[in-house]
Amino acid sequence: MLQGTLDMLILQTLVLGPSHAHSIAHWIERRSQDILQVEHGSLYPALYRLEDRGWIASFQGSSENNRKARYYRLTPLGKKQLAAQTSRWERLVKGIAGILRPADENAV
Amino acid sequence: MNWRRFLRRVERDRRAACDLAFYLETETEDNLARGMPLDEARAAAQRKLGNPGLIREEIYRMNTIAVLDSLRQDVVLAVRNLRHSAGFATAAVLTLTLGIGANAAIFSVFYDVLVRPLPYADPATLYSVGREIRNAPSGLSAAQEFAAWRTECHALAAVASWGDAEFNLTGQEGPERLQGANVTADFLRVLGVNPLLGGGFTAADGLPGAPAAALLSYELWQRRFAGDPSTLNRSVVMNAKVYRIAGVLPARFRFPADFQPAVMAVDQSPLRPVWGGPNIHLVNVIARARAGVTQAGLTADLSAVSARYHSQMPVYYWNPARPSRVIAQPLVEQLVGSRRAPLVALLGSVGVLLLLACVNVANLQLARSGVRQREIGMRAALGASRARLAQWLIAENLVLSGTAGLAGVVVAYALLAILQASHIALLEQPGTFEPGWVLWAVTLAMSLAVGILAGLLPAMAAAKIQLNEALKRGASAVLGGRRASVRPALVLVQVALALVLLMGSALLLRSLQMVLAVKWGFQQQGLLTVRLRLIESHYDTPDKERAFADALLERLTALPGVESAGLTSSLPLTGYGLGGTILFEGQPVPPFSQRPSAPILMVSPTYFTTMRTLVLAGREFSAADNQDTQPVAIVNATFAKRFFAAGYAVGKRIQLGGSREYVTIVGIATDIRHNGRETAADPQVFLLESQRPVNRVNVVVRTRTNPAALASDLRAAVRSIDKEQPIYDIETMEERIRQSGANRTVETWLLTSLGLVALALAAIGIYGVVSESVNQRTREIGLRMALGAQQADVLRMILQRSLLLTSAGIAVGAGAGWYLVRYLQSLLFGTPPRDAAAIGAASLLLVWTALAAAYFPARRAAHIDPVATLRCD
Repeated sequence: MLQGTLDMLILQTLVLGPSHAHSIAHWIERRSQDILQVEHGSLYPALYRLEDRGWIASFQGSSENNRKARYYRLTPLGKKQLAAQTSRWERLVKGIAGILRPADENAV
Repeated sequence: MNWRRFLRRVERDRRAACDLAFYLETETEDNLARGMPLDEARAAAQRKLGNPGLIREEIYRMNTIAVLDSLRQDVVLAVRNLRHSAGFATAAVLTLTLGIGANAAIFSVFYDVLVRPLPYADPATLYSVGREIRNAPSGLSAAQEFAAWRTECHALAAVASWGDAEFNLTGQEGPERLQGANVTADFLRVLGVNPLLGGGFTAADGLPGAPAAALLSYELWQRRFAGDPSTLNRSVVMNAKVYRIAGVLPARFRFPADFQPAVMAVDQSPLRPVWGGPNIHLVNVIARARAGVTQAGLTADLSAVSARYHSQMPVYYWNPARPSRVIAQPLVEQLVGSRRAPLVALLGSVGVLLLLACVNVANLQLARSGVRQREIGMRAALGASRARLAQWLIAENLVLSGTAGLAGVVVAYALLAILQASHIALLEQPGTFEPGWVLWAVTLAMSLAVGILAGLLPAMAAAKIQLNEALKRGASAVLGGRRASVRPALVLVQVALALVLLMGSALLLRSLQMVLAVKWGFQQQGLLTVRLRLIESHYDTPDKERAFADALLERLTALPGVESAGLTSSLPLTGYGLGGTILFEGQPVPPFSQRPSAPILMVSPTYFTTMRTLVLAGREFSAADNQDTQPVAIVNATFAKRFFAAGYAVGKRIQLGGSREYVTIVGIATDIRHNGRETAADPQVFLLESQRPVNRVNVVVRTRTNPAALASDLRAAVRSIDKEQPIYDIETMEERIRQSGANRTVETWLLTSLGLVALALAAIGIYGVVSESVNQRTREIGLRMALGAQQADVLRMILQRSLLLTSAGIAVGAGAGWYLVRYLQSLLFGTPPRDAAAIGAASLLLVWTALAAAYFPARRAAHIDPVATLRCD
């Protein structure tokens, strides 16, 4: 996975509501039709990093199967960050697409 | 780097562990739901997560500050290592403790005296103003001139004057003699100091006819008035006059002089200027310059004002032929200037000692590094980077220097306690000095600096280690040719530094010897002394003064244990107080300003006998000389030498202090070093107290037993004559002398100890290097001996080498010392700073010490058994 994209995907996942690490990973894998495999070795450090930056916040909750789990939710700062990252990502995709597809075809 | 995260990293690690465990459980459950058997479900979950330990480690590392974490490891490791080499650790810590302790103590004194601002508002604009006397600023001027400056000098924001005064405080608690000062009413306002209690002097206190007012020192208030706030505005009787207590000074108030008055009284008389009287009244002047006025500007403005009055000044005060200048000297300079030289010399010396201690520790470390090659090599082989190894070695040194720092604080406090107890004038107010945070701060700074500095060299050496070599050769491996040249170089530096300190010690010891060789002119053992100033209201006529003196002498002589008793108007080491111009019979009368003058002392006929001061020519005073016979004088040898041809003083007649009456010189007495042994004797005139009674009656008692034991008898004798008459400053003569010479004794003692410590350190260094080289050359020496070298040859060879090293160090040290001794100049007496004898003595001592230190390893070398050495390996 591209550097920095995991952060964006985590933030995007949390737009839907608070979630714990396990379901974040699942959600990303399912939504990407299993194209994106979340490496768990990087998921947890990423969550801590995002929390340190104040983009997400964590709290103690209980999971569907009534286990204690740490839930993460998006903070206002994280929402702003997500918007910025998404638009940057779209510009990047557009740029790359422009290179990969010749100009005579209709651009995306 | 994030401190908050760093401090919470353990808690976060626990959290991560919980998170990961939760993940595993959930994933396992999911897998079970997908139909996997339990074992497989768990294994699949673990596969998916990866190594939880690694993940936790990554998160942990995110949260740590790498340097700090590894530093902690290093410290733990260092403590363990040092415990294994206790000998080395003890030597290093002891060395550094001495260095750091001495520096911390001297630096706190240095800071307190020279760096810390004076406790006045805006001290930089305060000046001591006065005429120069003998080409030096005096801070004294005529009251008339002071008054002129006060009203006419525009560069001044404010100006006050003071003069010392003595007060007889009487009351229910008994009479007490107080050292005090007369000040102008605005004195405290000029300094910018507020009293602790009361409002201080007001403008009304300064008006003519106003009731007298006085301020008490905190110490006096506590002692005599029990710190009672109602003391304010109470009345006290001093010098038979009623004073209103206008306030109490703060505990830490510092009077701008080298004494602290117990009482300050208002005296506005300096503000009423009249030139042309027979006398001028000298006052000390403290001025505050207007903002923006420089020292030069202030001096110029003051001089311009004074110039208006030159024509009115008496010629002995301002002589157009030899005009004296007005000098505005920064107050701080006047107060602490004289302490700068000794403090700088001491600070420099302890600095050299610390440097020496650092070199010593670096040297010890290098000596040890041979043994440690294998450990360092092993760590390097296991992946420790060179930076990491260097950090480890420096951490080890920090442990050493940190321990030394803590012990150094103890040494520093002990040293300061000794300094405080020794009456040394280096300290601001002995007894009240509190080093406080400066001592701790400077200790911390030194510990860090020393740890890093002393650790740098071994660390650099460790970084050069060849891995394979170190592991292969093990403990016997050495750093090869390079280190062999580093250690002797360090020893050379040690010898040089030690020589510098020893030269200083030698010079001070020589000075002390010169001072001790000076004769006091009296025998100080068995003398008890006491100072008295007769209460003016009780003794207002010469007859009453004479009666008191006679009664006192009679009672004192009758005391058991008293051999004889004498009186003098001023005791040695307490200043003069009286003096006068001298005219010689039969010689032309020179103009007033060119008349010689001399201190005059009024003594009882028994004074010289009691002091055991020899009368060299003529006769002593006798009981037959009294107010009805012709006035007689005894002069001292310096007086006789200066004003008369040899031996011709006796029988000559002089007029003193402008009096028309002739006094006949009947004898010549040995010089008494009235102002200490380091000051040349002044020409002195002794008159007979019965012929010229004064109110200064100081007693010397020659006792048969311990003089201090007679103090209470003496007090009782005075009280039995007049119970209101205070006496003060009872002291044996030996104690007076001890206190007056404390500075030189303590300074010499300090520098000599520093020199000896330096010598010991150099000896340790030489011993270490020589014994290491003997170890390395065992086979070579064995071979030589096998080939016919005698024990004496080997001994000579080894000693020669250490002598060469020492000589090189001495050459370097002598060069440095030659340059540095000028900082000692002001501390020396009777010896030039570049004294060949001092350098020679210091060098010789070093050479002998070096030979002694090298002798033991050399003897070991000489006793090497050639067969044994050639057979081994």
